Amino acid sequence: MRRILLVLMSTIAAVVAMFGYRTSTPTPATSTATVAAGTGSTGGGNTGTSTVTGTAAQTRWGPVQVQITVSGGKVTAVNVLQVPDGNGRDVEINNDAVPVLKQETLSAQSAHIDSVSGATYTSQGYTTSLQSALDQAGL
Amino acid sequence: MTSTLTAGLDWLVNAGGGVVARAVHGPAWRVAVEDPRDRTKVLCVVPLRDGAVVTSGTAARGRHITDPRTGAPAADHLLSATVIGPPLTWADVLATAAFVEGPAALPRIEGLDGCEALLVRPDGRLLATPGALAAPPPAQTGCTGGAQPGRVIRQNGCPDGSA
Repeated sequence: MRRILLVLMSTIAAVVAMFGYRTSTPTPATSTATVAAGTGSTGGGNTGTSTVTGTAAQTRWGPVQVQITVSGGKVTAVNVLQVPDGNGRDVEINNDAVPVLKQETLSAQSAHIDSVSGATYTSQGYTTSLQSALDQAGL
Repeated sequence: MTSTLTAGLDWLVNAGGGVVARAVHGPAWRVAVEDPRDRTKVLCVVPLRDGAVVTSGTAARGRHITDPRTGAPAADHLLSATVIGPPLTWADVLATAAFVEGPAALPRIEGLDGCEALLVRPDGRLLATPGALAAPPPAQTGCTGGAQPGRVIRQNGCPDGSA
């Protein structure tokens, strides 16, 4: 049970990190936000900056692992360390995820979109499992 | 409800198109609703501070939604239905139900506490509950206003028809 919870938490951490970043818009000068670089540094000089590496989550098609940088209460950088590549479609989805999001941002002429809600790829079972994990995590 | 996992964090999870998030320390997350006719485009942006945004439709997996009243695939009176606000599972359930029911679902969802809805008609126009676009998008988007309660708004979600 604990192992299942750990895997689910890791998966959530990975998904959070992968989709929790802010797109486009120049941020105020005081922000330390960087997107996509992911330096891997720890404990940077600024107040409250830390780097967190998620546990590698094993999926059917390979591991997922990400590293996030948190600064001032916000996820400011994401570094994807491992992505599933055992299935051709996973590689295709991974390659599409960031470019499509940016394309949507530009097409919508919007200065600031954090995420996009669309018809789901996921099954009801997945959503149920995710909800269960969120409940257990107290989110 | 807080947990040590996310103490001090604002967070957002996008599970294959369904979004759940919480923003306590910073501004509300800005979640765009995908255009079901062109998945490289978005129709509008909704603010999300606590809860989920789930879209039900045929764009990703085809006609996979069955109308339980008939046993046949759901009628084509909507391209997609998006529910905003409730917890993830409820948003998922309500979005799917709204997609099956069609435009008549709008007042039904409007009557639920903390729930908003955006429905996309086959002609691309939107139907929305009053609070769905509570915070108007910034001027950069080109949209000058939000959806009017229960009324059809123009293509792309902008009352003046701009993109």
